[in-house]
Amino acid sequence: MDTPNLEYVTILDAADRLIVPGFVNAHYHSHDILAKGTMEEVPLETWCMLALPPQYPARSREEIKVRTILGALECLRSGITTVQDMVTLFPFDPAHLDAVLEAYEEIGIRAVVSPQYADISRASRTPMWADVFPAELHADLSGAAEPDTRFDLLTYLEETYFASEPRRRLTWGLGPIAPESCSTELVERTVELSTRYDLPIFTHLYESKSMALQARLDFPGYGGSLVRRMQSEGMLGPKVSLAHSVWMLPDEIDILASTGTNVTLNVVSNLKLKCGIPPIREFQDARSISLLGAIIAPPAIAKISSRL
Amino acid sequence: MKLTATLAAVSQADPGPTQADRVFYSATRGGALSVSLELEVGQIDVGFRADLVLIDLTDPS
Repeated sequence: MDTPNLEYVTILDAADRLIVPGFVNAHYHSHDILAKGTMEEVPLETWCMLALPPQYPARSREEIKVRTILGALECLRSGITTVQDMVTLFPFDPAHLDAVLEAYEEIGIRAVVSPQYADISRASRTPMWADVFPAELHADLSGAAEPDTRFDLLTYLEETYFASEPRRRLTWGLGPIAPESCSTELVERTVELSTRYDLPIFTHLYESKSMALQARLDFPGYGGSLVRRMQSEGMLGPKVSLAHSVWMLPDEIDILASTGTNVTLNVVSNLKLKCGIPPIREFQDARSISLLGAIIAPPAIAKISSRL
Repeated sequence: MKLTATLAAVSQADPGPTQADRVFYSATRGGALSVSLELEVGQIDVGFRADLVLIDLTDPS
C-alpha cells in the first residue's frame, strides 16, 4: 500500500469517538425555521392556511439569512452534514435567494437548494376548499408555492445558476411543490431541465389523507393515482424523490420500485401535523426504493438523531 | 431516526428485520442517493468527501 502524503492532511484526534458518515437531511424547508414552536397540534390543512410564506409580508434579507443559518446550525448539531432545502421565497427577490446561498456557504454545511414552484393555486387543489370558503377569500388560501405571473423563477434559476460554474458544497435541485400543483407543461419543463442539467427533482406526494382524496377525485383518468400520472408524464426515476408518501398504495409502491424512484419519509412531521404513519416496511421491502430517514418537521426540526 | 425505526412496528405489526441498520442506511447512503450526491457523501471510503461526524462514546447520555 502506498504511503499517504501527509503534507496537506489534517489529523483529527478521534480517540473514544465513533466516526459515522454525516447524515443527509433529504427533505427540509428553511422558511419554516422561525415558526418553530408555534401552532403545535394542528392538522396539515390548518397549518397550510396559516403558516406559509405567501401569507406573510415580505421578509428582510437579514431575517432570511439568520433563519437559514439557524436551521443549518441545528442540522449540524444533529449530525447532518448535507441538507436538501425546498425553500419558498415569496415574493421572489434575487437578494433573498442570495442570502440563502450565502448562509449555507458561510456555515459550511453541504446544501442542495431547490426553490419551490407551482402553477396551480392551493385553493383549487385542496378538496372542498373552493366550495366551503367564499370566493373572495380564495386568493388568501395560499400554498407554500403559488403561481407567479410576474416572474419566471425557472428561467431565472437556469440563467443565473444552473448554467453557471458549480459552487463548493452547493448544488441545485428542482422543486415542483406537488404534482397536483403543477400542470403537465410545468412537469415536462421540470423533467427537461433535470435532464439538461442533471438535476434531482423533489416534490411532495400524499402527505395528508386529503391529498390522496384529491388525487382520487381529480385524476380519474389515472385511476386516481398521482404516481400513474407522474409515470405518464415522465417524472419518476432515480433523479426523483417523493417526500412524505404517507398514503401510498401497494400498486403505487410497485411502480416506484420498478422505476427506482426515491421516497423520503418525514415521520415526526407526519405525526405533528396529524397526517398518519407511512408504510415504512413496505417501502423497505420494495428494495429499489431508498427509504430516507428523518427530516424536518414543519415547523419544528425533527432531529435526525436524538443522540442516535 | 429512532422514531422511523420504531414506527415501522406500527405500519406493519408482524416482527420484521432489525430496523437500526436500515434506518442508518437511509440517513446516509439512501439520503445521498435521494439528493444525487451518492458518489460524494454518505459513505466513509476512498473518493468520498470527509463529511464526518464524531460521536463521543464516553458520554453516557
